[in-house]
Amino acid sequence: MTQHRDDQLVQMLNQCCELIAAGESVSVCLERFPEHAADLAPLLATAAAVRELRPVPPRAASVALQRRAQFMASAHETSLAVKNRPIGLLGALALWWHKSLSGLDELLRPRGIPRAMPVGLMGALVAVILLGTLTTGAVTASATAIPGDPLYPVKTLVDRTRVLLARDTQARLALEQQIAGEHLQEVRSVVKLLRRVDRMRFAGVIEEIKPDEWTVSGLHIRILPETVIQGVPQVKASVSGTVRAPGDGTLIAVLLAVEPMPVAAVAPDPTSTPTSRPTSTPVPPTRVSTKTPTDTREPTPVEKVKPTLSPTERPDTATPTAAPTATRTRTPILTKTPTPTRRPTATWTPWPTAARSDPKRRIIDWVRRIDGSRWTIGEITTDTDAETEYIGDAGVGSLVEAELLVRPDGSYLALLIKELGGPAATPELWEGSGVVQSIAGDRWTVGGTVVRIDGDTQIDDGIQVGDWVTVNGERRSGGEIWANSITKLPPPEFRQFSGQVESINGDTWTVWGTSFKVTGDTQITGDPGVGDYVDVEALEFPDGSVVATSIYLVPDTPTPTEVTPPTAPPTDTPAPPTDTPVPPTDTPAPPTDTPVPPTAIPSGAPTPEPPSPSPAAGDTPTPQANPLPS
Amino acid sequence: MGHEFLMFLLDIILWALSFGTLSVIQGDNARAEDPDEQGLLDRASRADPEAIGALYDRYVGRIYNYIYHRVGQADLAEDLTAQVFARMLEAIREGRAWRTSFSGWIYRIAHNLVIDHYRRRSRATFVELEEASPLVADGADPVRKVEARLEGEHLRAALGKLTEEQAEVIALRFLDEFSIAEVAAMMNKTEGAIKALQYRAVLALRRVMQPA
Repeated sequence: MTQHRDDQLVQMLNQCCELIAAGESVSVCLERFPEHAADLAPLLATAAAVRELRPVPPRAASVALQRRAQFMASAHETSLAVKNRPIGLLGALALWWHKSLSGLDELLRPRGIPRAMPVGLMGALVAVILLGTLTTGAVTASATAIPGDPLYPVKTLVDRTRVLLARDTQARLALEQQIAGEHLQEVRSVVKLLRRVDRMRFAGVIEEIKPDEWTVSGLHIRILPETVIQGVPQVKASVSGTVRAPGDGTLIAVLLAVEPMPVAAVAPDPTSTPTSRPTSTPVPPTRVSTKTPTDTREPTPVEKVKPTLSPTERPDTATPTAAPTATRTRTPILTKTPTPTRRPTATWTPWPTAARSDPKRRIIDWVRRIDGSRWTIGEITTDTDAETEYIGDAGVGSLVEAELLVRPDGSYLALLIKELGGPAATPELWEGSGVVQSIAGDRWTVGGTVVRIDGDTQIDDGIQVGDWVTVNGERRSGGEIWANSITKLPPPEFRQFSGQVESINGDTWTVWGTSFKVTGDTQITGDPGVGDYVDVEALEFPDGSVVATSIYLVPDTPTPTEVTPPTAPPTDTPAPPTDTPVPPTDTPAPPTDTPVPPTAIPSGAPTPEPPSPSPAAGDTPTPQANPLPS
Repeated sequence: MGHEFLMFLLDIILWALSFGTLSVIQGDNARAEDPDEQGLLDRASRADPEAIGALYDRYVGRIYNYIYHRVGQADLAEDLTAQVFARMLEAIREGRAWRTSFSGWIYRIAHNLVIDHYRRRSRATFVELEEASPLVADGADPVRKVEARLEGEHLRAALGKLTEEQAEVIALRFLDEFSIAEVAAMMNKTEGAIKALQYRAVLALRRVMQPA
């Protein structure tokens, strides 16, 4: 009987717990089981008392950030250590095959293909591929593979080979268009099959842009804060990049590189009605369209592409039309006090063969540098000559429209430079280093500062939140910082040292010969001054600077002469506290055997730690000495 | 004498708790990760820093809360949380990361570190409640904060008097808010067994907390 009653109470208690967790009151639960209310009430009260402990004070943001940075630094070290770990024979074979495929894949990408690739090398590559794949039937089998299939890498490789074998430019273009279309179809298949794929390449045309979703060639792609977006997103612009499929029928953008649109496409045609969706014609890969100037070879009458930007428009709303070239300036240098020399000087060397009827490009961008007759407009550096026409009074910082002659060697000669807007404010060079705290579209938060990126920003591969980076950029009008380059730095090293405070000079402290900075985020326990003994935990940056993360005042620094034996008669304590006191410079050992260091930041009040009665061998007392009630 | 004997008993209980829970929170049947997490786990186990970072972001708050509930101090919870994830990196580096359930695995590390901390602390030092770390001024009513702390410490002490399984089920159900199914998976028991254990645990806690 009692057992039966207990069983009932077990069920009823659980039901009540579920109800209370769902927001019901205790009384409602008791009303459900009136015959057992007397038994349930005290149990529910006990459970409710435990729940009272549930709220946890929010973590201090600065601490959380610091911990994360330290963790990520360790994570990168771990990654390196794992990559360098020796592997077994099977592992080595698998790695070799994987690298071989990847290497060939990289080699055969269109952008990397030299136009005049030696026939012998091509033949050797083809032979390797044929031997490695054709003989096993993998090529045939891979024809219908989609991302996530084991044979998909083979298919990718074969596609690259087909492009490579098409020596005729037009045939190659057509083939690349076909393959791009196939890639889109593959992505659609992955979505339809609810397949999980970590990374898929694709290219298409932007049809619709919402804050959290783009529609690209019919694909709905979610944009997350960590999505890296390069270039200026615009409807109808070509975009390529990588997406991942979590397996729920959606696509999440990893990287989206928006190609600059041709000027003619940017300028709105008053007579045309904008269409939101393009046709279903497969979209050519954007890289191809920018590499081959076929669509700009025909001279375009100037009148037809009048700039539509008003002089008051901001630079980020202007449409950059500078296609990436092989000679990108890594870090454009801005002259703080520009003295533009607009007219050619004696340094100008006329280009003997430049014909004014050669292919032209038109760009709208900001003048970044003027060096004699060479102007850097956006990422394009162009010559000027005596016939260059100037409209307005453009100088460094001005927004200009430039009509450029494309010389046979790919260099530029400006035919026209027209000022569209003066420099709203002299941009200041800006450089800073810090942890990447967030990447939200074109806004990065680095060390607490928001910097913006655009399609011209040079960003090291693989940068992610938590990495240490250096940003070179400029502070433009309104105080916004625009990055020209973001360079990844090796993670800072964790350091821990102890000693006497030798000097405190503003935010620079010196302890035991080591100088370091103290910031607002530095946790200082106690009130250390010159002469005090402190334990310091710090991060040493690649430039040699050291920033303290915590400073712990070692309390009541004991000296050997101050040690007195216990006055109380010996008790049954296993070992009386007659041990030699710990020297004051002893760095507290990490509380556990975890080798990763940056976790043991002394915390809490400087509570003196009484001598341990009898520490077990190898059992170092924790430095935190965080008290817990008995 | 009595105080130290009590701490010795607590030490023994915590030792038993650590070993008991080692076998309790088994990875095989622990909480099933959502499908979206599986790819992340695969990459993290291969030391992909991006995936490791994502896992950290996903779990650091939960682990912190789990530890805070057991130690009641923010600084200490931060330190122990950092150690949990340091051990995760260590395991990845040494190729002995989770086999099946990541959440069960990471919670087990957290649990063991808490136990380790208590064991170490009970050997190292005894500090009365009055010497506990100061309350941080944050605008809240300090009297209420002190009361809450005392209540919390009283309850934590009471939890220490339960069996390891009872204490664990109370914590997982009412502090960490895991469902019966999740707790069953984490403790490698059936849901019915967890319900019965929950009942016995609440009953025992009620008895312990009642004034003598």
